Amino acid sequence: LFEEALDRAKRVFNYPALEGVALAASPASDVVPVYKLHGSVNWFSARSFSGSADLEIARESSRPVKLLNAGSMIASQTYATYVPKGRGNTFYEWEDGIVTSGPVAAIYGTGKRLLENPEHVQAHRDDCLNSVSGLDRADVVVIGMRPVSAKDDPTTSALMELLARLQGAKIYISPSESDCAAFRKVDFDVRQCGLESWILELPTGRRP
Amino acid sequence: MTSDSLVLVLGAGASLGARHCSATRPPLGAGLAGYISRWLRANDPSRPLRIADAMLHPPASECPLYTGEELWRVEHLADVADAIDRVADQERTSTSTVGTPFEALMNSWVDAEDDRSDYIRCAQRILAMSMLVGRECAFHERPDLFDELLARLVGRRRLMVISLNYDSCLRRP
Repeated sequence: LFEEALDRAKRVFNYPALEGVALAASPASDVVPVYKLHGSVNWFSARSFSGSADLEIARESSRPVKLLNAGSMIASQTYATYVPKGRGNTFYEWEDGIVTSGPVAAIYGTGKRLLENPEHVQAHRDDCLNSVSGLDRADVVVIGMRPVSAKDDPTTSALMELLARLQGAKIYISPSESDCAAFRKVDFDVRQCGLESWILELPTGRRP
Repeated sequence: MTSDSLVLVLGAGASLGARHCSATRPPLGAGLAGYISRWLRANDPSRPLRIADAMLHPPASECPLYTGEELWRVEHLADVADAIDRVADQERTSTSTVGTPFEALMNSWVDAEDDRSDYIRCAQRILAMSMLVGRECAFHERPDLFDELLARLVGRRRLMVISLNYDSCLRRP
């Protein structure tokens, strides 16, 4: 939903370090980096195919699918992660896509592992952590996120440690008393309410 | 707030808050199975069409309610849907603050001695479709409070967005 809001606000965004996603055609400073640490329901793994009368030529012209261990299961890693433009194209991929499979999205369970293109998402996750650790100063607003453990979600856990060390204002918004208490312990300025209550109190067009 | 840079971290509660007025609201983790279960029931092609649906329908390629045909042919769909229904019942009574019933279901398939990756792929596919199209989908494209958030909080500040959500945040064609 948030990328669509960026689109409506005419802000250009990209998914950094996600292999196969074309970079936005805009000056780098204008592009909003959007990190989706658990993948997305509109990310697909693109598979490489090639036809030839000669088997060797067909092999040389296509890229193999790697099989990787994902805990007790086997994940597949292809050469590219594909993000179709728009809902129509995404629906088409789900309905008729013969060279893609998906979603490239984490299993909703402990460890947040992936069965499709885990290396691409790991590069995306690593880039997120590197980008945050490279920030000198930034304000942080965390909305509607539950505290996580390193076992449950190693990347988000590492991210929260980096954010806690950043210089700048830090705000956490959630109606949950226990979640607010956890973020208060790491020095966030906690607002115990829903996004709707908080955002509507902000002055229009001005920073809080 | 003082910095020219802003890091915005979004969890499931952000999507819920952005659409708090909607009839169908984005789920939190603790209600994910219930959301999927309702979506499956509302879009099951074996159920009779409602009269209004039969009278007027835009082309399938433009209809946000059309869920296609392929999902309903996926192997193990009935088994996965039954399991999700059972977890939806647990969600109604669960008081646990650690993990969620849907997470426990996924973990049970990950840890199963026999390979259940087909079940997981099927569940992922249902999840994806339920966040993209169909009746009882909470994620149809339209303005919401994220527009307000951008206008009031972000302005022209340098922004980095980090989302833990899967929802279909798509660029327009």
